[in-house]
Order: sequence, then structure tokens, then C-alpha cells
Amino acid sequence: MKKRQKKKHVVSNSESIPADLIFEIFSRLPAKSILRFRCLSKEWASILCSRNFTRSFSTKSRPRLLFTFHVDGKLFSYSAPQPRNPDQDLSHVVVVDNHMPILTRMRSVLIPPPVCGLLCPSSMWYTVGCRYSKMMTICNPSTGQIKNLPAARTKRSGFNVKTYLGYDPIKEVYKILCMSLSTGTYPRISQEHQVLTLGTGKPFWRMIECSLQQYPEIGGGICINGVLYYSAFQDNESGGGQDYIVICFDVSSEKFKPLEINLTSPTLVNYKGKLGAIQFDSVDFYDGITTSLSLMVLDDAEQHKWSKQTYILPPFWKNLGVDTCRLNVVGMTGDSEIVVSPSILSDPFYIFYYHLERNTTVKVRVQGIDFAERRYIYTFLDHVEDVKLM
Amino acid sequence: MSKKMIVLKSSEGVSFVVEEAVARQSKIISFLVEEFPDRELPLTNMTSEILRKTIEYCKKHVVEDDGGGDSSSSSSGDLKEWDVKFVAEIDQPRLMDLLMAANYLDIPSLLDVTCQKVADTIAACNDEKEIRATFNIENDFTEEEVEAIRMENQYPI
Repeated sequence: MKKRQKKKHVVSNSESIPADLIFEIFSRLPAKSILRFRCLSKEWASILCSRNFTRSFSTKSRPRLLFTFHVDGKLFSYSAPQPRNPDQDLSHVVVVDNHMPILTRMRSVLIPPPVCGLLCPSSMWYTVGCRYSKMMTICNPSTGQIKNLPAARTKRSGFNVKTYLGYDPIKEVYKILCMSLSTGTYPRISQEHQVLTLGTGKPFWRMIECSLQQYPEIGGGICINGVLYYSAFQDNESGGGQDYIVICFDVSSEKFKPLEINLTSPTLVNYKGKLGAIQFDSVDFYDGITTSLSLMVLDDAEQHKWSKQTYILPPFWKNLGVDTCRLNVVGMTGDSEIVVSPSILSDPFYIFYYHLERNTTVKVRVQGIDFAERRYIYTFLDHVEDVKLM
Repeated sequence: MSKKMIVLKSSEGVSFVVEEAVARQSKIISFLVEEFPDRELPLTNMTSEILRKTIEYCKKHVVEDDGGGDSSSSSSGDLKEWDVKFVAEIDQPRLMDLLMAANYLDIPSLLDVTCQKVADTIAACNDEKEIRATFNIENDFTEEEVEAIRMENQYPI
């Protein structure tokens, strides 16, 4: 009410459009249009580059599905608005928009989930030591921008470096957590923990304290509300073997905390803003033998309080109709659906929505991805397009 | 049952007698009606043409809202179709006026359809020239400046 009263515009076309209406209109356009419109005029450029606009764009535009794969040193990405209630929408098709391919200079990459619009692709494990540490990049699939990061300070040969991207929503900063992992044994113990803060002048690595003995797992982390979670092992207190744990890294305070969980190597997901962990009763959950899944939700990180539910899978699960390749759980929707995607690109390409409460599975066709043979494809949920320049 | 009517007055001083329920879709009018009952509401920054269009939209939406009832899904589908037609028939300058009116009167659904229409218009433009022409934007960039932005974006604009 108060906000509206201020605007006593005489409604006529000669008057320029108020900034909040420009926000309203442009939030409905794809990110790549925004970049083009920065060339319209100086006034428009200043509006579309302003922090207020880029912030409003990220919050107003609908979360998207993001698909990426890497071919010959180029990262290809495609996105589409996330389907709402796919099991009630009979068309079961999403049509993707393609983004600019990004030159990564890498031969093969692992792509962890995007964090607030940015991707931090990391090289495959076998690229050892300083060679990789000089090739770290961060990129934005929506703008096509890629930024090289300075080499992390790793002194040892025979070590890999592993990176995780995190976002602190209070200070609005991205941080990259990097650690060196020994290549000799498995699992690999982490050392030389360091952090790089993006967007504060010339980026540099800072060593941070980590008193935790941890053996991070291969997969990427997941960042929810300023906390980065990733899978790891720690030495069993009785001295025999190792226990699976989840490490919580507070992006703001840069402190590590182990979280015990009674599952082994589950898939970590964002479950309605909380950390969720999904594990099936057999390793290859799409093998036709699997009958149930467990979902643990972290209700209270301070008290280590998890709630656990077990779900019996529907008969349809036994035959998802994809015979080509492995499937991965890629996340959960706000409507209690587990989303499953093949890990190899195929044509046609499908993803699956399994609704926990209704016990139904819907196959959704993804149209518009240019096919490339034998490519790992990474499917992500809740990708938020960010149009600010790095 | 007689319906309560209110009077809205355009910038040219033309009075429009409207059912209160119709006008109340505007949050501003809803507020004003409560503050100043039985008063004519002057909308000095809206032309008669735009006010008429706005009322037409509100009438359609109020009828469908409490009328249809049981067949809600089809009626909401019809309404959507009607909205699309409604904004399709308006030319660009008037569409901007209507958008500003929806913003000023605070009618969220009308603001939504007009913003979407403008966004669609922009998306349908082939190049910057076309957008500048449609929205009356003067290009005050030099060639070098545009080149600099292109470099910064690393994006083929």
C-alpha cells in the first residue's frame, strides 16, 4: 500500500517505465535475453546490471531443470522451467532452451550441483596434483561466463584437489572450499583445507582450520541455506574400519561439523529446505530387485535429530522403461517427488518423477537437447538463473 | 438483490458507474472504498480509454469468479483464453498504459497478464533495433561501448 502510493505516475506512454515494472517484465524473460538487452541503452544497462535487478531476477524467475554435459572441452547446458505436478500434466514433456556452450579447457569434468546459479566443474579424479589445481574454474551457464580461479596452494605431489561450492545467503557471497586428498589409499584423507571468496577483488586462497579427520567421498556437495553438506567417512572410534558421515560446512563461519547418519552412502538432497538422504535397499535401485527406499530428513542439525521414513516402491519401478544406462537420484521437488535421471545422454531422453505419498511414477520426456554419443549427462533441479556478472 | 455501485472518475472527468465487487479487484480502490464510502473516486492519472479497459477486465474476472462455481477448471481455462485475447487486441502504447494502470491500481492478475504480454513482445523481437523501436528507446551507446559490453559478457550479442 505505502509502496504504491509513492507512484503517482500519470499513465501515459511518454513516461518511462518505472524500474520495478521493468524488473517484473524482465523476470519473465530467459537469462540470455537479459544479456542482450544490456546493449539497448545506458539507462537500461544500468537497470539490468544493478544488484537490485539481478537479485530480483533470481528470486522472481521460476526454478529450472538444468541439464549439462561436456564434449571436447566445451560444457553444454540446457534448461527448462521445472514442471509443476508432472503426474497431473498429461503431456509429460518439457522443452529445454539451450545456453551458450562454455569453453572449460578441461578434458573431462565432474559437475557438482549448481549453487545459486553457478557451477564449479571439477576435473576427473585421475588428474593429479598441481596440474589440476591450476585449472579451476567457476562458470554461469545462464550468462555463458567462465572465470578461471587462481591455483590452490597444494604443495604435495601425489595429491588430488577437491572443490565444493557454497553460498552464504546473508552476506550474499559464494565461497569455494578446496582440500587436498591423498591418492595412495581409499578412502582418501583430506588435508590443506582452504577457502576462496568470490567477488571480493582479486580472488585468493586462504588456509582454514580443520581439526576433523575426514575422508570425503567422490560425489559433490549440496548447499542449503548457507550450509554445505557432503558425504565422507571417519575413523571408527573403536578403531576398526570407518563410519559414513555427513560433513556440514558452515559457509559463513567456515567451520566443519560431522553429522552421524544411520545410512551408507545415501544420495543427499534438498528436502523442502532441509537436508534429506535417500537410500534404496539395493545398490542399483533400478535393477528390478529394489523394493523400498529410506528417506532420512535432518530435522535438527544441532541435536543430530533425523526422522526416517521407509517407502515401498510401486510395481512400475521394476521396469522404468530405460534399458540403456544407469539412473541417478538427482533431487526432490517441494511436492515430495524424487526425481531420477539417466547418467548417460540418450535420444529420446527421459527423466522420472516418483511421488512418495501417491506412490506413482511419471516419465517425462525432455525435448531439445542436442544428442552427443556416450556422454555423461548431469541433471539438476532447482537451478536458479543468475544474471549478474562475475 | 441490488448491488452496491461506486463511481470512478477518469482524468478527463468522465464518470464510470461500477459494481463495487468489480472495482474491489483493485487493492487501492478496495482501500479507498473503505476509507471514503459513498464518494466518487477520482483517478486523475488514468484516461477514460484505459479506465474503460481496466473495468472491462475487472468485470470479466468478477463474473467468472463467483459465477461459474462447479466447473472451475474449464472456466479458469476459458478465462485464460479470454485474457490472452484481451491483451492481444491492445496496441503496444496502450498496453504499456494498461500495465501502468494495473500497477497503480494494484490489480495483481491484470499486472501479471500485461507484464507477460510485454515480455512476450520483447522475446518476439528479432534484434535490439526492433526492441528500441517498439519501446521508444534511444540508443546512446557508441560502437566501442557495445563492443566492451560484448567482451565483458563473453556472449555473442
